[in-house]
Amino acid sequence: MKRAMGSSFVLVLALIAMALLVTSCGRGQAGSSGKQTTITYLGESYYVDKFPGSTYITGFEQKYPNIKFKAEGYGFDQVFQVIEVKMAAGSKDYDVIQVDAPNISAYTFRNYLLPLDKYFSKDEINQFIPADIAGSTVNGHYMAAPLFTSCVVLLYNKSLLQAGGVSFPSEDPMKRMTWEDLVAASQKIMKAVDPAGKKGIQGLMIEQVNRPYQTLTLPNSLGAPSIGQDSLTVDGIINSPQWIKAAQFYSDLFNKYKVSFRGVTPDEAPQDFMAGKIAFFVGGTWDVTPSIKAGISLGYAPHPYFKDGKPVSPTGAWHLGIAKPSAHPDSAAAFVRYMTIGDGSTPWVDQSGMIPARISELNRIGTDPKYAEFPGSVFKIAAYEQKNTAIARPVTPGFNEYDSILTSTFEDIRNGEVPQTALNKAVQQINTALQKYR
Amino acid sequence: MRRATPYLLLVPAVLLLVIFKVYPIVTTLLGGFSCKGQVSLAQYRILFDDPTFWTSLWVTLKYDIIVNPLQIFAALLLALLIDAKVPGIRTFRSIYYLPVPVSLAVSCILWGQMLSPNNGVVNGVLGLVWISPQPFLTSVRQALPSIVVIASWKGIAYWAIFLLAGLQGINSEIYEAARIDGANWWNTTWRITVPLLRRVLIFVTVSDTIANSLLFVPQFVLTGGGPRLSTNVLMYEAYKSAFSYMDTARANTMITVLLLVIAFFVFMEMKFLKVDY
Repeated sequence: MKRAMGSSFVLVLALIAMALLVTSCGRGQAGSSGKQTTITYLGESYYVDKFPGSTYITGFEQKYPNIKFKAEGYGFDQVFQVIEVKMAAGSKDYDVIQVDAPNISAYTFRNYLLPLDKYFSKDEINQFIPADIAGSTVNGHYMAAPLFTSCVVLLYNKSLLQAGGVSFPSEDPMKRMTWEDLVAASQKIMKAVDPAGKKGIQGLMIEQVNRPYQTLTLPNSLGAPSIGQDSLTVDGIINSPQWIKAAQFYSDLFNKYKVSFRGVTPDEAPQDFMAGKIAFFVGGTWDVTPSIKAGISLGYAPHPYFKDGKPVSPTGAWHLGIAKPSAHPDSAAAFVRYMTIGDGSTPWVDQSGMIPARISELNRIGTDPKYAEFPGSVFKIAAYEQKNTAIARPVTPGFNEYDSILTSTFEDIRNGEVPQTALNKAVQQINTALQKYR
Repeated sequence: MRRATPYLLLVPAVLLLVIFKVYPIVTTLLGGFSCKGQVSLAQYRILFDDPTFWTSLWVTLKYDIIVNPLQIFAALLLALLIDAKVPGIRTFRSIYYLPVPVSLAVSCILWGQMLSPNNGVVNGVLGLVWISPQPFLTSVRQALPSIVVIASWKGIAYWAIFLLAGLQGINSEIYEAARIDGANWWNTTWRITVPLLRRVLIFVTVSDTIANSLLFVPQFVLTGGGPRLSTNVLMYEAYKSAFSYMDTARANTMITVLLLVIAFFVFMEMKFLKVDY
């Protein structure tokens, strides 16, 4: 018995030792495969899932045969947290990370990104829209290059408008609809098409409901800034009279006019539009093709504005940055350059349904026959907006906190909280959250 | 060597416990007592000055006080039902456990659809009995109770299994003797069954308390802590602090407070259930 136990113990130890040996050999082989470098990309799964077989990834691999490309994707609501956790831990797992425009400042503050000054010349940087360059430059260093930018337009369901006896909005940016006109038209459509409210028809819906990406256009349209000059102050800013007026309008959409429904999430809103349940949809250009495929008789118009205000539209989208702990910054930079100013840029933008961030590409939209007819013509409005009405989200190291708290605040306002009370609470919460950056 | 063998074989398990349990607890506790590299209570002072923390603490206490007794009582009734020999019980036994293997995130998404204030299934059913549509997760008053329902739908069957195992360990002769003495169902259940289930009840009570205190997936998926922080439990606020705001110091202090809250609840439950140490 003693001998049996002793030999069993030796056998168990031997098995454990073998397992450790095999795994450590595996790791060694990955690192010792000659001159080939492997770079790993971390980003949103919406894009990562499109990588296999895409012309831009294939093109990159052909141009750089010594660089092997791997990618890891996460859902929109998870990718930010994955980036934070991994980068904060100094993880060397990733070389290129997808950086959302408003997070560039925060990631720079937290030392997640390597400056791109060494890899992009001044002329190359100036290819991009000035608003984007300003947002990507922190303390004089260029930190991330844009893959593309984003634009939100007014999409509408022609069938519902016809059924409601509402004329189609003008495509002319000089004759764009006001928010007030939109509410009146929405109410008319709902009364005609769904008077009993049993069909679930909404007159108007904002795609990224509650999220500052779109809700900030309301106070911005009334001339109010999003944050103080020091990029940290919110008291007197987000509880100003213009902000309260904008928030009251937002609340009225759901609670007074009832043209928009409570409880609809940003993921559900585009699905409801594509199911024919929404008449006017303030949504992104990325919704155009899927809506047509879903069978919607689609129309489009410029982004609405307040009658007493000025036209503004959201902007900013994913950028590419080099992870500071990356062991292969030069290879990572090659990928960033290829996808932002190289041959990979145009095919990626075309596939994404987004707007180019390069001025030359925006100008091309105005002359390229591909954009003369619908649905390509939507991008002509988007190009106009980028050059004339786009307003970026606030550049602040505490953007995650600002965004999260304001999203909850707008949700509370949507659910009936008095706007002034909600905004004052938001001021207190944001002040506490941003304290650590002072 | 013979004496050392059992301890050596325990080393991998102990190592894992130390790395994944003890080390995080110690670093969390120490992290809360340091500020700018020095030992300090500053983090706790900042936390206690934060109204959001007190709101979250109150929501957590409210949630625990409602959900724990409710789930344990419901699990006990369910276990008694499953143990009964009534017509149709075999069919019931095959379906009552179905919510348990469904992932919590998926359960939350499904319930979110069912509780939608706009044509959700639950409002549709309420409409059949002439009850007007309810706001559920969009209402300050109804959001937390809605989460109690979701968590209970998911968890009751799980805890009932443990109680069922305990029920089936009770000697049937005791029930025969009680029947002979004229005891009815009520007396049998509360004077015989429950006392004999005490050990299992202690396990279920403590485990359920810990699980509910740490639960934040419904808030993450459905409410974002709202409306108006009415569902913003301490665990969710700590999660946001750690992973959205990267404020690990704030998260550490919150988790330490939560640990104390859980310890308090467990202590009170053990006193109530008269645990002998």
